[in-house]
Amino acid sequence: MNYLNESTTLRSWFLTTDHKRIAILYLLSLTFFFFVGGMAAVLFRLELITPEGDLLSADSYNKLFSLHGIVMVWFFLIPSIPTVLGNFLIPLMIGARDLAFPRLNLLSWYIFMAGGLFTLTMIVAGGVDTGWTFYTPYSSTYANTFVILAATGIFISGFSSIATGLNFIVSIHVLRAPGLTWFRLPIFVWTIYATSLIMVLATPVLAVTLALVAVERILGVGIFDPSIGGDPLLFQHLFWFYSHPAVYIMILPGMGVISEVVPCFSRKRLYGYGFVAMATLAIASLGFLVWGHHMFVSGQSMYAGLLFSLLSMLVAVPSAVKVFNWTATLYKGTIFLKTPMLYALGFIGLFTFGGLTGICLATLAFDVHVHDTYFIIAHFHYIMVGGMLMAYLGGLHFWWPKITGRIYSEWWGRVSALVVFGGFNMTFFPQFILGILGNPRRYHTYPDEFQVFHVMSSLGATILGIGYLLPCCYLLWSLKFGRRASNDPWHATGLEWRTTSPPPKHNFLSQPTVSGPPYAYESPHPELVIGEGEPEPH
Amino acid sequence: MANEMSSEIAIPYDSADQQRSAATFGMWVFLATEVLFFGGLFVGYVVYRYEYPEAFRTGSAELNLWSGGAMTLLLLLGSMLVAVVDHLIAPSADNRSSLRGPVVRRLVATTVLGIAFLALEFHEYHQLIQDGRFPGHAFRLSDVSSDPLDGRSVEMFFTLFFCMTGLHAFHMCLGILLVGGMAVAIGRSEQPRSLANPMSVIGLYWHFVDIIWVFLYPLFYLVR
Ligand SMILES: [Cu+2]
Repeated sequence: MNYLNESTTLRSWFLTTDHKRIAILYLLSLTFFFFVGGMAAVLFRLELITPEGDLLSADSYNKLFSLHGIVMVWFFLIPSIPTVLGNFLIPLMIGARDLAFPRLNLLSWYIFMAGGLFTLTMIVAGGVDTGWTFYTPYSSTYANTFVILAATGIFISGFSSIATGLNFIVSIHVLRAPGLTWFRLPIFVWTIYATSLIMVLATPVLAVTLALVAVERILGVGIFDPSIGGDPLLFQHLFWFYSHPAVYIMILPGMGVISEVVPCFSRKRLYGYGFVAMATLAIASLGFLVWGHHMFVSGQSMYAGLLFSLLSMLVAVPSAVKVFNWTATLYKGTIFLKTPMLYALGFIGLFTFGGLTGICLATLAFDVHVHDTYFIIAHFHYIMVGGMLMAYLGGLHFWWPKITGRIYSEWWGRVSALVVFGGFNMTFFPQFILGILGNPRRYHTYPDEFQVFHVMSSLGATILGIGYLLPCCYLLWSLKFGRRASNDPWHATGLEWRTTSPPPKHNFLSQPTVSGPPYAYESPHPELVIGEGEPEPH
Repeated sequence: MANEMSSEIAIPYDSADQQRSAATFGMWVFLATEVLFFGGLFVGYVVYRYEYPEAFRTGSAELNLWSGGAMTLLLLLGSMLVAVVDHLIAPSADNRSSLRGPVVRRLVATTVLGIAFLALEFHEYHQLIQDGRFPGHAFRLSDVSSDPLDGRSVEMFFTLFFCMTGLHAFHMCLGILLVGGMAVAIGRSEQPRSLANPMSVIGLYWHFVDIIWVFLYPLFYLVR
C-alpha cells in the first residue's frame, strides 16, 4: 500500500489533501502549460528562420511571444519546483505527515488551474500582445479588453502562489521532526523557505498593480497615463518590485535541487553548508532591492540607476558563493555521472554563464547599449531555462524513484541531459551575439545579415524540443516497465529516503528523528553501485 | 485541556499546541501578505500626494470629517471588544462560570459596529457619487477646477480614495462574516473554549483591518 494505490478513483485524486498527490496534480498541469508555452516558441522560432515576415503577421507574432512569456513565467517557471518537488518533498524532508494546511494546499491547485485556464482562454480567444510585462500604456490605453481578462487570471493564480508559500513557511517552522534543527535542514528546504518568503511578500504587489491597471482601463482614469495626470514609471516600479524577486522564485529552488544532487553524486558532504544556507537568504533579501535595473533607460534618476546597479552586482556575491561551494564539493569527490548529476553539472555551467552576463547587464552603460535586444533574452533564458529548467528536470530524475517507485532508463536519461544541454546552448548562445550586434527583441522581421544566427537558434530550438520530449517518453515508459526502486536507490541521505518508494499515505510508518547534520556522505566502498533498482518480484 | 481537544487534532499535527501555533503563525504570514497588498496602494498614494499636494487638500476637504471620525471610533470600539473576547475565551483564563453569554454579546456588538461602519461609509460613497466625485466618465471636472489637468489630479485623489477604502470595505465585509459566524458558532457550542483557537486567529484579522483604517483615516480625511 502506498500513496498511489491506496485508492484509485478520480474522486480520490481530485479531492485529495495528500501533499504527494497534489504534487502529481501539479506535475501534470505544469507539463501541459509547459508544452503550450513551448508550442508558441516553436511557431515564432519557425518564423524567425527567414528575415521577412512570411509565416506570421506582426500581430500574431506579438501574440505568440506574449503567450510564450505569460504561460512560461506564471504557469510554469514560478510554480515549477515549489509546487511539484516542494509539495512532494518538504513534508518528507522535515519528517512530517503532511503540510501544515492540507486543504489550503488542494485549494491552491484549484485556484492555480482556474487562473491558468482562464488566462490561456483569454490569450487564445482575444489575443494579448503586450508581452509578459503588461507595460502601460500597451496594457491600458492601447489594449483590447482581453488584456484585462488575461491579467485577471494572473491575479487569481497569484493567490495560489501566496497560499503555497504560506503553507511551506508554516510547515517548516512548526512541523520539523524531533532533532531536526534549522541547521540540520537540507539546503532544498532552505531554498524553498526563502522562495516562499518572496512568494508571500512580492506576489501581493503584482496583484495590486494588475488591479490598478484594470481600474484604469475600466473607469478610464489615468493612474498610469501621463496625459491625464498619471505616472507610467509607477507601474514599472510596482511591476518590477514583484518581477525581479520573481526571478529568485524561479532560481532559488533550482539551487536547492543542485545542493542535494551534487553531494549525493560526489559522495561528499556539501562544502560550506552554513554559507550556502545563508547565501540563500541573502539572495532572497537582496532580490527585493534591485528592481530598478530594469529601468535604466526609463528616465529614472541617474543616482537611482547607480544605486540599483551597485545593488544588482551585490547579488552576484552570494550567487558566486554557491557556485564555488558546489564546485568545492566536487573536488576530490567520487563522482557518479548519473542523469541527475549531468543535469546538475549543466545547471552549474549555464547558471554561471547566465549570472556573469547578468553582471554585464547590471553595468549601466553596457545595459543602455544592449537594452531590449536579444542579449537580454539570451541572459534570462540562461538563468531560467539553462538554470531552472535543468534543475527541475534534474530534480525530477533524482526523486523519480521516490515519487513513482520505479527506475527509468539510465542510458536514455543521460542522452536527454546531453541533448537538452547541447540544444539549449545552440539556441541561446547565438542570441548573445545578435544582441551585441543590435538586433532588438520582439520584432518578427530582421535585417538579412542576422539570418545565420537566427537559423542556428531555430535549429538549436528543434534539438532542445526533442530533448524535452525524450523524458516524457522514457519516464512514462518506466512507470510500467522500469525496475523497482529500493527505499534509497542513490544511497542518499535525507529523511525522504528513509521511507518506502513510493511513500505510504502519511509518509512514515513511525515518526523519524534526526541526530546529526545533513549530507553525511562518506568515502564510498569502491564497488558501490547506485540507482540500479531491483528486479520485479515474481 | 489537551485531552478535551485531542479528538480535534488534524492530520499533520502531534498536539493541540502545535496545531494552535500553526494556525496563529499562518495568520501572521497571511497578514504580512496583506500589508504588501495594501502597500502597493500606499506607495501610489505617496507618489501622487507628492506630485499633487494641492489637489489632495481640495479632495480631502470634500470628505465628511465627522462621519469619518465616527467610523474610526466604531472600529476602535469593535477592536477593543474583540480583544476582551480573546482574553475571556483564552484557555489560560480561570473563568469557570459560563462564558458563552458575555462572549456572544461582545461579538454581536462588534458585528453591529462593523455594519454601522459600512453603512456610514456607503452613505459617504453615495454622497460623493451624487456630487459627481466618482472617478471616470461621471467625474465632474469643471466642479473642482477650471483647469482640466488640475481637475484630473483631484480625480486621482478620489481614485485612490475609492480604491483604498473600497478594498478596506471588502476586508470589513469578510471580517463581519467571520466575527458574526464566530458568534453563532460559540453560541451553539457546548465547549466555547474549544473555539479559542479560531477566535484568536479571526481576532488577529479583525485588528489588522482596523489598523489599516487607522492609516486611511488621516491620509484621506485629515490632509485638508
Ligand atoms: Cu531583475
